[in-house]
Amino acid sequence: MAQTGDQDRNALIAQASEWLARLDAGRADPVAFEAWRDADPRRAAAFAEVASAWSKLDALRDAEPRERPAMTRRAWIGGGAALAAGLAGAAYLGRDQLLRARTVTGVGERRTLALPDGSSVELNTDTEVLWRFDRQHRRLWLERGEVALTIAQDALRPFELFTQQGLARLAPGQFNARLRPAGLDLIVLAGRAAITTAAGQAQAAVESATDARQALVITPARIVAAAAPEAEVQAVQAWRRGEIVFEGQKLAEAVEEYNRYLTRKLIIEDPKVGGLRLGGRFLTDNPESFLDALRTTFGLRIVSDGPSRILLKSR
Amino acid sequence: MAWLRDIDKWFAAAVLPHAATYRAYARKLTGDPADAEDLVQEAYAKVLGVPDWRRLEQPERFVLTIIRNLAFERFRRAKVVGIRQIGVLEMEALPDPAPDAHAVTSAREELMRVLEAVDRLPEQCRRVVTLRKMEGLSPGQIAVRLNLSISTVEKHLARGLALLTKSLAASEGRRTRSNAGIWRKRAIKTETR
Repeated sequence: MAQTGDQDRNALIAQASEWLARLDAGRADPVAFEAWRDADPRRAAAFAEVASAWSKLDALRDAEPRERPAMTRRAWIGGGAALAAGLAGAAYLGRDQLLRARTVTGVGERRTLALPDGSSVELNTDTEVLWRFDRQHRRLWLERGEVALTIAQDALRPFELFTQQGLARLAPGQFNARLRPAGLDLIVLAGRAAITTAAGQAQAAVESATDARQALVITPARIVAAAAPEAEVQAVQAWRRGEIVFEGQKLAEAVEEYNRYLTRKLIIEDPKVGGLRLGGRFLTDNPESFLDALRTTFGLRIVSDGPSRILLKSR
Repeated sequence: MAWLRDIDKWFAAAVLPHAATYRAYARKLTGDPADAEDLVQEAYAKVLGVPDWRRLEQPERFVLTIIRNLAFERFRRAKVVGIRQIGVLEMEALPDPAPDAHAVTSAREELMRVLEAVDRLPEQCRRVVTLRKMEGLSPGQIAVRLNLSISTVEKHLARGLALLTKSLAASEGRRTRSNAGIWRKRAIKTETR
């Protein structure tokens, strides 16, 4: 039996790496290598993992810029940081398949995408974004779902958010964009946003912490700009912490909201039940606590109906 | 690479991409990172010992099942088992690794992760790895270029590779950690009709 855990893994990976480097240099005895690998399947596993990291490194060669910076070979080798920066530059100025990167979250998943300019994009459940940065632009496409954006300062490259509803130009600050069946909700928590759609243009700005947060509600027909309701501001802050907040919504609406996070959807069986109002703070990844509240507070029965549905019934 | 057998290639292509899911699941079951790592390694070893590996249709589910069985085995032997652990084990459902592991990483993100990992290597390691993998120089050429012996080049490569393997595995883990909630949804207590 091997020792436990990390230590064991470290040792195995170190050995496997030594073998690979020796094989790569053509200095290994193939028979000795096979004997080492065959003696323990853990070694074979570690070797396969190391070999897979080794082939991932091949991507570095593919990303090599076509025109190298005007450096001598020696300077190129010496400048470790410059080299990495050059590579990173090449990575997004380079090849076609790398031009627009895509990031997706599944139902119930959240992710944070760190962009190369220091901006960040948090993706809520069931969300898809594409993005591409070049010398003139920082562009992000929201295809589906909801994102919280923290935009970093870059005077030379405006930040542009594209959706089916239109184009939003965002100044440094914090924003929340959510696609709904009817259109786009853009909340300005800090900073300025200017939106252009087929229906017209609008702007919203939150210059200081005491200013009211602004909401732009964009539908194909029009754009409505107004101070954001407090509940909405709460909601966009809550999801980033993995929470969902209800303040007197009807159960039907609350369930619809919660269902965004669930692969197993909640179905209200009884229309009267849907009219109940509820309040509370729940974790999006722990529907059990939400269902418990429904069970105890409203006396609902929670009935399993196959792998994709859970029914809510009155007693 | 001539050093990889068919089973290794299959292992790298079909089993390893879900590593973060295995680790998260094993951590969930054991509550201890070192034990979890141990379970994952043991499961890998078992998979590589399956004579009929070509017939496994969902190798990732196979690995998860092995992890669960190994965890069960340990709990049976253990004298004290935390209540939380029993609760987790009562769940029949395995986490669903299907859509995310491959799909969410774009080529570009993958490249960025590799670049970041390379960037964190110690100076000389990074130099050697970059010359070997980016410039495509042979270990012999690198030795001449950097005025090192071949065995030193080899050591830097081995060290760099070990560090990269671990840091790529760790960044994989960070990326999918938010998935950890996915299988909890299946633990919802429901009545039957």
